[in-house]
Amino acid sequence: MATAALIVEGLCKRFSRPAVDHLHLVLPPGELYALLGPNGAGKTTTLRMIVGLLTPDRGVIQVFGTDALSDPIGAKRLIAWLPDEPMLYDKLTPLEYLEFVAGLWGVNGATAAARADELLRWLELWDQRDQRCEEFSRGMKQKVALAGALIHDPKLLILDEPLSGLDAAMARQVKDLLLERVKQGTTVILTTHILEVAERLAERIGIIHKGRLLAEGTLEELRRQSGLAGSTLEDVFLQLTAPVRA
Amino acid sequence: MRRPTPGSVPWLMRHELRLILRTSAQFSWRLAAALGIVLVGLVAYGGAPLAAAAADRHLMASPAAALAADLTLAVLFSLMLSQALSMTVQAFYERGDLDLLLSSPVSPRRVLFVRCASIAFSTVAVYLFIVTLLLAAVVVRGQWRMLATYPLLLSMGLAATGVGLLFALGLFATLGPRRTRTFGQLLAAFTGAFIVLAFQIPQFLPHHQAIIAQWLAEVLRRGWFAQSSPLAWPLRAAFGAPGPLLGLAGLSIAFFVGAVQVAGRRFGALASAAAGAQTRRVRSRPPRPFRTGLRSVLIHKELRLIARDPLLLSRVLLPVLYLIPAMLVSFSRGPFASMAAAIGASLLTLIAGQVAGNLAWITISAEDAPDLLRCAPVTRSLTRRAKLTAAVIPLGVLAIPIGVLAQLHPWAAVAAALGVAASALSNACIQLWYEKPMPRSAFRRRPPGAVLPTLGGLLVALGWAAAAAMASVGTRNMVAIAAAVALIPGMLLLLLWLGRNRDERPAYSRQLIDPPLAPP
Repeated sequence: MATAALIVEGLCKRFSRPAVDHLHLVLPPGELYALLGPNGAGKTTTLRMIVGLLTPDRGVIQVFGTDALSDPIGAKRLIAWLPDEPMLYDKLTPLEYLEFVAGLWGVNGATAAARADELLRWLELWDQRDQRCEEFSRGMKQKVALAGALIHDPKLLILDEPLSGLDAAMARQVKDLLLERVKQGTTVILTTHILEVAERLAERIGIIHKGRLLAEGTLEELRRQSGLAGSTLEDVFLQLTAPVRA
Repeated sequence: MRRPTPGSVPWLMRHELRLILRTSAQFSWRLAAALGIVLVGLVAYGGAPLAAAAADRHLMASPAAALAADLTLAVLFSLMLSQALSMTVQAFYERGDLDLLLSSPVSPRRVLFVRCASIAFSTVAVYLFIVTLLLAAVVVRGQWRMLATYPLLLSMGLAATGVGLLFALGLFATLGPRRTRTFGQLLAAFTGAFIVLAFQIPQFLPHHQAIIAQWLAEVLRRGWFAQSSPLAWPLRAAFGAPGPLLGLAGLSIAFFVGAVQVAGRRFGALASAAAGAQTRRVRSRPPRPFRTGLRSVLIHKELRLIARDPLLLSRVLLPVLYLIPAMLVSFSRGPFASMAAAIGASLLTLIAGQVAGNLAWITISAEDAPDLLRCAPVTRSLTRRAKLTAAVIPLGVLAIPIGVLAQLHPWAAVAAALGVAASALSNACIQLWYEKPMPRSAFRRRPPGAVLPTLGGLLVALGWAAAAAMASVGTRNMVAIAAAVALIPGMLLLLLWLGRNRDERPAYSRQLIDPPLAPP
């Protein structure tokens, strides 16, 4: 059996109250998984623990068999993280930014230059390659950050609200890119408030609230769990989270 | 109490005041207690001589005192002007609530008036605070008329803001909105330095002390600063003479209002132009090969970010500007050449420490994308070493003055080189030990926690500078004394290292100041 792309077991994180509470997730390689939940449900905290930005209070995180807590550097090599606020340097150009990110992940200069060329053309940023990021709109910044996330060819792509601030055309472009990457074998886990995106893109969906996983499965499985056959993900989501919200 | 009418000047001022109060430093009991002790000490021990001076009617009539007051106020005014210029230029660019206000039916001129009044107050706030400490002692002993210093300072703030506003308009007209921001900030920095540099010019004149004394005697003899002269107004106004005080205050207010009226006509249009001034003309170049290697990309990234921020760079290099004239004196030949060389070696050491400390703060604490570094597969120590290297690389430029010094005083050059290396590395390390993530814009107002590293860095640099000055003499005894003196910064460094930030939380995390998840 192939090693799971991501195993999260008994993950806990507490601030003044539990933010993530004994969370279990298993993602096979090449899956697109959507993590949904109301505001403050613990989605971003979960992702930040997986990428090594927060230390869990308890639990296990494994990325392609590498224990992310005992070997964080090894795990980080396989991961790319795209938060909702792009991690950019305003005074660098897209090319310089990609050179820097490639250097951080130890990608050879020639390989990185070729990938940067390909990514910037694909994301329609080639004409702006020598313009500083401070001059870009939010959507363009998000695209530069996405190129940065892909420059080292990650095996696990983790995205927090990747479509926020993007116009319809850009959002479509990003969705196509994600599906393309998944086809090539990349595992993707994303959070989104746009349920239609999760409905159309994700193979499996996890619904989290108050740090706990309420339900998980394909859309059909979630419909069965909620007892709402043939309904939309929005109805399912509201039905599943209703008792907890109440 | 009646509330001001929405949209009126008092209403806008209340809004501005509320923003200032909520964004200024939080109240600290420790600071308040320290200030209380200083205040009581000044009232108890400094009050008598200060009050006696204030009560002295002859002092107010003295031309020498009038000249001294004019020079002091000129220095203060140049500092206020520097700050006012920087803030008025920023007023056109900083969006904050500007877009909201300009999109409302409130007149842009009224918005500008309130914003400029707030700038005028901000430029004098620190001086009002200092003056309060001194005046308390005087007023307690009955010299109420010295309270006139407050309106005098406020008038100066208004005049400085008026000048700054007209300067900003001039820059917009000549350079356009894209360059005005950078040039305005640079001009502001140099305005602050100008008067300090101007005071150093006489040092370059031969027999300068005799010339200055002769000039002063002539000026005083001609009665330019006599009590009836307008040049004596500032001193008389500070002592509460109603005529000069009302005259100066009236002139300042009229000038301020006039400047706002002139600028107000174009404020809305200029603020809109400034909003779209980010775009640079871009020359597309053929892509160059990417660098390979973490250390190389990290160092290049830091150097690029420093070089591309002229405002930050000007602030980092400002101490250097202040010390350049004194450095030039150290290259002189003549009977006092060895003493001048010692001063040169110590100044170079001091400059290196200050600049390295500032650059290290920028590269280490003011990281723009901390989470990117934290989620990259690299160790914290490697990134910190690379950032430290990037902070000291620009100091290579000090090789030029050291080279010049080597032509004249080789031993002083060796001492300077050693002092520069020690001072730069010490200050960079101090910033590393006291790392505190902050945005780059915080450079001007270092975070409260940075008092210890800033003060410690200065003391360590001064220690190395003293050691370098002594070592530069080159005799065996002086080198031995220099080695003993070097123990002082060494010990200070050890103490700072022992008291370093031992927070085990990972570096480069904005969470230290801004938790990403605020539980409800």
